[in-house]
Amino acid sequence: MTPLNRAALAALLLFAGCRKAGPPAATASVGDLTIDRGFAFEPITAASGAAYFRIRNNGTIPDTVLEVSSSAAQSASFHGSSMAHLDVVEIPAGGEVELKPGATHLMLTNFSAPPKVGDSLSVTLKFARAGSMTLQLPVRRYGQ
Amino acid sequence: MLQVRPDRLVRLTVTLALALGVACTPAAPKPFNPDGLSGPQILPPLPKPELVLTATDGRQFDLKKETEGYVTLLFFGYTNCPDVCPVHMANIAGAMKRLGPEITNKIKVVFVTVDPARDTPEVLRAWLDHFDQRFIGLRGDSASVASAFTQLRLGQTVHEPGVDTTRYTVGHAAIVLAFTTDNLAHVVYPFGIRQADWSKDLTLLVERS
Repeated sequence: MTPLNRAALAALLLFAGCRKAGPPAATASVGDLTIDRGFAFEPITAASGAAYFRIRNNGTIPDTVLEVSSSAAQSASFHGSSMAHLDVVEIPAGGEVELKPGATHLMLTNFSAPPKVGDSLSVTLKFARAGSMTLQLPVRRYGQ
Repeated sequence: MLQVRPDRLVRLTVTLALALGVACTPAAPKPFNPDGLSGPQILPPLPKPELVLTATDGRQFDLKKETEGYVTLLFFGYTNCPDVCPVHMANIAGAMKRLGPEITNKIKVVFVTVDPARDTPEVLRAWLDHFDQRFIGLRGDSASVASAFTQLRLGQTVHEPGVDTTRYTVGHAAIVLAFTTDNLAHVVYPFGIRQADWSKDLTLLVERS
């Protein structure tokens, strides 16, 4: 086996390993911000659903989310674990904000077409400094 | 602080006397064994609350009477809840699917809505069926539910206004209470308990009841 082939095989195995490690998650970046660990749960009813991701700010100036929306739902808003609405989501310089089940999450309400497992949910974020970006979040079943 | 009203005291005395009279060889209650359980133990254990609500089939449901002799999981939530409620329900449902009927036949899972305005019997039933058709859904007046929260020392629910009058959210306790057949919750399950731990714990709770 040539070194190149060996490298290709290693890369393939790594890739397979990554895919096996867990359900798919979205990554993306804009300006100083990188987003990873992105996913949504398949809504049980069209009334409400939740999405999650981590935003890292690699820059030296804080950034904030100005707007969040999804083409698949009538409204999208950030909520804390106690379900209180969060008006301001700030990503500190050199820091991160992580949305995850049981903690801060993006709540989506009134889906026009609730996404199913295997689909992706489109979420657009507009940041004060970094600009706008659209995430395609893979959809998982609750409990996975 | 535990306060006993005089009328309750009389009832308690009568109940005690009856219980003592019936049991010729009074068996001391089995001490609870928390070994190996993932759910944290609560001391003192919480008694099953006095709670009479309406089940999704329209029947009156007296929690104590209907769950007597079963390991009973009790959770308060609402179907528009996108995060904690469906994750808990999906994990419990996943665990129940892994377990055989010798265990699951001895378990009742009871979901009480804190949002009866939007959670009609039909909405509640459809939402629970998504997880497990065996799950029991209860709804009723907010005073009864508030009283159960007080009895269980869960604080109270908080109504959070939303973008319009129909899209509000409700803050509520995120724990699942697990009652054993002694009608006491010795352990509770905060958010984050995994399916494998639920399977193990439900088996242990049934075996130790």
